[in-house]
Amino acid sequence: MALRLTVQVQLVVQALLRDPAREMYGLELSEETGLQPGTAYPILLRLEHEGWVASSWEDIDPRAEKRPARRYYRLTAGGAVQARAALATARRPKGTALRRLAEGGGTP
Amino acid sequence: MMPGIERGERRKKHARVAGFIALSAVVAVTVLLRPGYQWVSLTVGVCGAIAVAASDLPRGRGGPGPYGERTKKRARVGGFIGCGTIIISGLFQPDWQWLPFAVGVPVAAAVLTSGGLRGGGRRRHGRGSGLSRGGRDDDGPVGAAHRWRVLAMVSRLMPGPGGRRWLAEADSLLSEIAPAGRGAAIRSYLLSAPRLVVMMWAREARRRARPGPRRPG
Repeated sequence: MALRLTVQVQLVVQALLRDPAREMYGLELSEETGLQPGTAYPILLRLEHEGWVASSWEDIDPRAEKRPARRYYRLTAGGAVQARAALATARRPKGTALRRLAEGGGTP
Repeated sequence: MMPGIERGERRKKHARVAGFIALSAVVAVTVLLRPGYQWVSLTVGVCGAIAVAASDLPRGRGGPGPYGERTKKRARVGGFIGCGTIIISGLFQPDWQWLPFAVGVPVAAAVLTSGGLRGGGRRRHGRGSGLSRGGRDDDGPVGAAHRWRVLAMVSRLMPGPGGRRWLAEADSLLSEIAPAGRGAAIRSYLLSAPRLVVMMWAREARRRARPGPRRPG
């Protein structure tokens, strides 16, 4: 099934494309996109299923770090190419749509 | 875990176990009043097993570590096997048709009220969870614990590995998010969950339908 580039998906992809080599975890992505974490998660999962994104658990000792491990996401090489191409052809989100999204905390 | 939550949880756990024992007693008395049924002890035993399986086992037995997990798993499996036996026998014996109801209702209640009946590796709002440390939710620890339980329950609707991962990610994220934003974050997780459940099961179904060696989701 082809990935539908909704406004939220575009926001997540754009955030990841800013530095394709950089790994980002859920909270970072949610802060950068303005989406609520619960909204960003299904998007990341879909991107991962499509092979655009790869993810892995952080290798830490939660007791030592005093926090649970994060799950990091990064664009795959193929994913970055596909994402750029898809964004180029995608309809740009209108300012009002983005504003509504920001006001609603990213909940679709 | 915050002391308040721990105390509350312990009280709840005791109440749950006591409730199920009382329920088992009611079932047993009902059965005793109907002569000819010898399944009393089995019914009581199964209800007791379900009660134990559904409630959190005392720390040290059901706590972290392979031994605790194994004990929990055995209790759960034992409960379900016993319960399944009774239900099936009830279905095949016309005189015992009340049995599935007598057992089914406590089981349904057990599943609904338990914090961790399924998924040995899933984390509840215990030590190290995002809601139990580093500040409170916007409606206090009780609300946070309640929401965490809802998240854990929702994760059980998802296929095993997917649900575990969703819950673990939520836990990780909620432990780092500012307390003020935690309630909204949990709500967003809950709002997106139905779509996610459908998506995950659709994917799981496709994966199972695919020929060849299976890969964990």
